[in-house]
Amino acid sequence: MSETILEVRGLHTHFFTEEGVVRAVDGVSYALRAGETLAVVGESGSGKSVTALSILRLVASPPGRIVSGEILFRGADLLKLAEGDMRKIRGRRISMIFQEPMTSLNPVHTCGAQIAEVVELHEGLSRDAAHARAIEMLKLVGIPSPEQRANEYPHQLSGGMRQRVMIAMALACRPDVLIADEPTTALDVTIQAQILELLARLRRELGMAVLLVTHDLGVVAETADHVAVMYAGQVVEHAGVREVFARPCHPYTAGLLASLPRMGERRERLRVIPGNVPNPARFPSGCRFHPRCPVAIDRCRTEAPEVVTIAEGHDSRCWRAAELAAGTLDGAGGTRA
Amino acid sequence: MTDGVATTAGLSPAGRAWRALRANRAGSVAGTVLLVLYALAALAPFLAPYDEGDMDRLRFFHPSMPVHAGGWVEVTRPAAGAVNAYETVPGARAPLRWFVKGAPWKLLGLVPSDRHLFGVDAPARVYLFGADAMGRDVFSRLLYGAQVSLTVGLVGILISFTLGLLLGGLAGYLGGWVDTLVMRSAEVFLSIPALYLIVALRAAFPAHLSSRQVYVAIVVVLAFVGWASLARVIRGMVLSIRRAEYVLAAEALGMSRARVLVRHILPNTASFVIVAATVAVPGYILGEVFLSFLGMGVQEPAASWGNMLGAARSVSVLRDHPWLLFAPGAAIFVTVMTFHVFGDALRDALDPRQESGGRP
Amino acid sequence: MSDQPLLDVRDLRVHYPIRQGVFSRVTGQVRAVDGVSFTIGKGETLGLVGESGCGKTTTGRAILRLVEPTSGTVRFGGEDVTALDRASLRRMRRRMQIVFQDPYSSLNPRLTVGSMLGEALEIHDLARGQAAQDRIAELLRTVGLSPDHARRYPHEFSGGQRQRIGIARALAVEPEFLVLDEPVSALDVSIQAQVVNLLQELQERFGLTYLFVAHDLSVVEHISTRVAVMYLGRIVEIASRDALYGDARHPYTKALLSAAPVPDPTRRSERIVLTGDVPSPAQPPQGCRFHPRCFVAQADPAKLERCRAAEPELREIAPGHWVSCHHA
Repeated sequence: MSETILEVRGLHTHFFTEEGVVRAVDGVSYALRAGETLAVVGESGSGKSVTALSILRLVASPPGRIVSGEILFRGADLLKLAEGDMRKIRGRRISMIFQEPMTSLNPVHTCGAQIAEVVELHEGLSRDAAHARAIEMLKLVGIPSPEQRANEYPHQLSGGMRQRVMIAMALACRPDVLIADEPTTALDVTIQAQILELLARLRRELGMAVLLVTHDLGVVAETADHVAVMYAGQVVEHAGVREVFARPCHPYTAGLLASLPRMGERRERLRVIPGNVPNPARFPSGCRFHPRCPVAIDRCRTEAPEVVTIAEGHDSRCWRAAELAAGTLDGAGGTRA
Repeated sequence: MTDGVATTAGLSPAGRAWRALRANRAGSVAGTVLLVLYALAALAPFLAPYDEGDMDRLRFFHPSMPVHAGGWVEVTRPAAGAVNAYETVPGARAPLRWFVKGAPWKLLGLVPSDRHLFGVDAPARVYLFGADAMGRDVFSRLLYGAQVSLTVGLVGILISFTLGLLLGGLAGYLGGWVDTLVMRSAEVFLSIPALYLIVALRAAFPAHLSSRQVYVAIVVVLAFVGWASLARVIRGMVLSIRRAEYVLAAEALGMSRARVLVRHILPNTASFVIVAATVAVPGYILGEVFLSFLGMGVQEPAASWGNMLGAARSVSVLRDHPWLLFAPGAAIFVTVMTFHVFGDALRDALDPRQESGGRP
Repeated sequence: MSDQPLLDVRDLRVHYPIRQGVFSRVTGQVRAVDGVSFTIGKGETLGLVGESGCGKTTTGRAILRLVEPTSGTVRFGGEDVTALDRASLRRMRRRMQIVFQDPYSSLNPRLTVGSMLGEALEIHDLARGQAAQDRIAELLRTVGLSPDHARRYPHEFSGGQRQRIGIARALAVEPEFLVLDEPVSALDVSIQAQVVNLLQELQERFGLTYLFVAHDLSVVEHISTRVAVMYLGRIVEIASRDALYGDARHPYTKALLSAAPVPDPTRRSERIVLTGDVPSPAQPPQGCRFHPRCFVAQADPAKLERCRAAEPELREIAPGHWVSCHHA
């Protein structure tokens, strides 16, 4: 197994608003190994994106603040770095791409200039060398006639092409880690397939690690090596991708998987997780999933479960994880709407 | 992927805006100051010791006099051998008296009375902020002037916004030739420099009008200039709101176009309109100042902040009798600033981005 | 399917003029919907899938005349919707309703849920006073909300609850037919299944007919009886659900099906990855609109020749299975 390159330990990122403290990220830990893809899955308000932003210390402050925890990149805590040193990490060692390729590129600069700027900034290349690198990167991400595209503005490109430019920009300095926050959510299925293919190829060729933040379990199944499932500001299950899909050991994961319609599988009704996604300003007491959990017991209402390790590399934050792992309990609970 | 968060507070959008406004310190202070200012204007004849036209030929340019502890002011007389200079009468005190009888007046033009909050016994006079070139009390004139200056904005806004909302709304919703006609006329108005337009329109009214007629003329002139920019913005908003899915849903339910416009489109421009109206009020106040400065505004002896400031434009006045500049200047400054601060706070309170609650 | 379909759409076109310059001269046409024909039988669900810009949403709206069709006919229960005057159209709209994608922009933020539903009852004179209150409570219960939600404003609800309100509003006028325009794609994963189940229950209970517009192929497979696939303003394939998912004939349908990620890591599929982007509907390619991206045409110059030259007709290659491809 390869070495751990990025590790988040006990991260708490809170937002201090007029309505009170929003504990968006509340004790999150996960580890990313060199060359692998870790998918962080969750719904809106689960804290998956805030965790990703916290890694690069890009959480808007105020109102947000990283309250405690460690973010270890190659063993050094990023939270202890001076802002100037942190800037040398961003875009160079750890890069990030976002969901909305429409707004993530600056509309007043050409695509080539935006990529070149990153290289000039971090590697001190000359104008010409940086421009050459920009064209090379555009070619790498599969943009046809890159010399010409480099001189075009973002609005002249389609959504898929823009996302490719974003990826080219993020990878221009050959980072060790790429954080991809919902990189294909705004794209059509056939374009999504292109981008996922591209990310897989680049990961192989450049040997980088990918932290993929997504809500789409299909994308997770197709691309991830490991999965961290987040719910209400916490990681509730963390395991290898096959483990998670074959033997989910948290009722939330089990419920999500059971609720998905699948192609080629006919059912009268879908199984559902009842209730609503909780408000991050008012998480439930005890286990945060208990109001929606079909197998909750009294203990779940009052006591917050700790993370338990069920098997090597398979963690769950559930009082009944052992029963779920043994297969004596169905996590999805057979609930019907 | 967004799933907002259910809250339990059963507040209407207006209720939430009110709460947000109350929570905004600068906004609450500004709102209170505005209420006080309008109360002062409404009660001007009662609060002012003298009528706005009440002259005293012996006390031109009398400086302001301090109120001493115990509630009295000095008694003064013209200094011998000097023009517009005054000396105190040694040992003489004019005590302030409360609820004195004085010039008759009517509260809001309805309830007659002759009581004033305070005054001194004649022949002594009290000049809190000094006297002007006619020996008129600046403090009293400031209060009377507030009636003109503070209402010119509100009435003007009412007219121009009614026009702008109606024309802009129709242009945006109906489109076609209505749209073309309204928008081209708006552009004509917007392409003429506002000041010249104001002067030209004012010139269209007879030169000599009663002060009430002048007041109406000013409001009409300013409103006529102001509607175009608003109509343009409202049209743009209507264009985007009419594509909102709730408007489509209303149409799909079989509602008439008038109903869709009045019930589903225009109310959703309310946040913008309220804020725009608030920050537009200072423009009207300053417009009145501008017209009065050119001598085309409210005519003496009636007071407005504009003509009070207009009277203080010569260098000699500024040098020798600075209170004539400072009193109306400060009043205008405070009012305009307060409206801007209040408008900002309103904008925050009505911010539609807060309406979706907990979108992360 | 009964003999006469409830909805019969024939050669529907919606073209938007592209205006440019100071005088708004028309310089071109966006052919958002360009000759679409299909029928839906009573009680059926037709899934309409395709990528953004393919015209699926515009098709749904043109059927209700929320956008005016440029040409073509829409017959609903035998009546030509496209020929109705304004007043008759308003009456017709009682029978056909729509649920929108975005639960945030589809509810008027200034109306309470109760007044929103009450308004729908009022304009069609369905109930007044206490009867209206009772009906509103019943509607809310029908979609899984509580009657006291009537006093609340949209911002007080979560996305899933808002979508239920949107459904209640559509049901208020007791329609026979619903256009469901991506009704679950803006919702969280754990909420999607709730809404899909609700839609199915309502269909059974009230005998509703659905046009289900979506881009998520697995949801469409779950809910539809027949499925139509659109590309650049045209239907490229339409068939029963089993035929389309089991035996797709059009290369675009095949690519779409294989591109959808499957939530099963043991079945990492060999995808057909299409090259290039969707062309602009203002300038669709000559001949077959799909040919510049088509792996079948691009692999064989002889075939490509024909795809470039002529636009394929939608033809029936098996009973009820229509495909618009020269090589199917």
